[in-house]
Amino acid sequence: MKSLDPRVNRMGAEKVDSAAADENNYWESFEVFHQKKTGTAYVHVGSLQASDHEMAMLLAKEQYGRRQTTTGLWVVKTTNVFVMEPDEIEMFSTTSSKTHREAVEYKVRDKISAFKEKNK
Amino acid sequence: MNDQAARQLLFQMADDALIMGHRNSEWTGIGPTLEEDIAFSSMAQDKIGHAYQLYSILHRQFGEADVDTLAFGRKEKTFRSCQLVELPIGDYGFSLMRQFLFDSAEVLRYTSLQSSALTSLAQLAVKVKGELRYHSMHADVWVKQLANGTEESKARLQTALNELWPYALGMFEEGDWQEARTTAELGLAEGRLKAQWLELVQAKLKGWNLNVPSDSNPVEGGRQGYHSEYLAPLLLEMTEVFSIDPSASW
Repeated sequence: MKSLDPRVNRMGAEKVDSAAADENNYWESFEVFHQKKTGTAYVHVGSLQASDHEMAMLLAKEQYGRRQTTTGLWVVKTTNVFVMEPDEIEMFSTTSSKTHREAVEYKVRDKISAFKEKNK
Repeated sequence: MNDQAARQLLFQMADDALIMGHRNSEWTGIGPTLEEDIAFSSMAQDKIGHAYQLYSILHRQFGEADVDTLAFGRKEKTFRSCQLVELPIGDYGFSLMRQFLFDSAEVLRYTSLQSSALTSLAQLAVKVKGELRYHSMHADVWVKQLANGTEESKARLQTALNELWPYALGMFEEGDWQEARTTAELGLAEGRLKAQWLELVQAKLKGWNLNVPSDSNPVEGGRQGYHSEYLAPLLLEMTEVFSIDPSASW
């Protein structure tokens, strides 16, 4: 491959048969959860490809930890995350007479949110 | 403290970090996977940051030129880096094996400097502890996985190890003023560092079923300013912008 980048020319890389490369690819997808302060919830920040948990953690550290304060990281195989089917979401629709159950209706909600925001 | 001894050590460490950082940054954009490309580039940047801090100490406390001039404005002969860091990047296994050999030594060296009487260096040693731990862990995980991978990955790693070994031993070459160094001031002497390093890397390599080369003749010269054929072209490429416009900023 001829490139404008001297490093690529130095490598003497050859064009790879992408089908054959895919066949050799045993890497899996992992989901990454990040905690920015001790005691707070882990938040899903994205995914990455890795050979196993050890490698996933190694790569997650730079990928998701280096641009923000980090007090913890979780990596989980994407196949181990079980997702509710879109049509099952129907179960969450409630009748208007039951909206008192939803915490969003509480009068103090705004204050709680404001307090949480302030203490992030 | 002997100023000349401190100067020699700081230049050795700074030049090692700068050249290693530059070499590893050559993988930026062409790394094996996107995630690994980001990680390896970030570590290369860390190394250049370490060089920056060490040159700063030389500038502030030892009356040397400013950081940019020390990094980009010196002749090849004045560099005190070991030849291990100068070698071209090779295949990815080669670069990972070099990272393993180099950063294992860095961790030991910086650990022994945490109590240095040269306070600025001791503070730096504490500050970079986390970064070096990651660099070393990165190399460990990759080398272990590739050593336990396919026949090809194992063979490539072993070839890289055989080729790199004499150069790695050269990291501990005694430069000028070595005899004026004391552990309390400038950390472990090269010989003691080498013994600790050998014990550490031999145990790990054996654990990953790689053969530790029996060759014990180090490739030396770097600490005295004698370099391999690879340093001059590297410096030419690295200092291209600085040579055109020393005051360029971005």
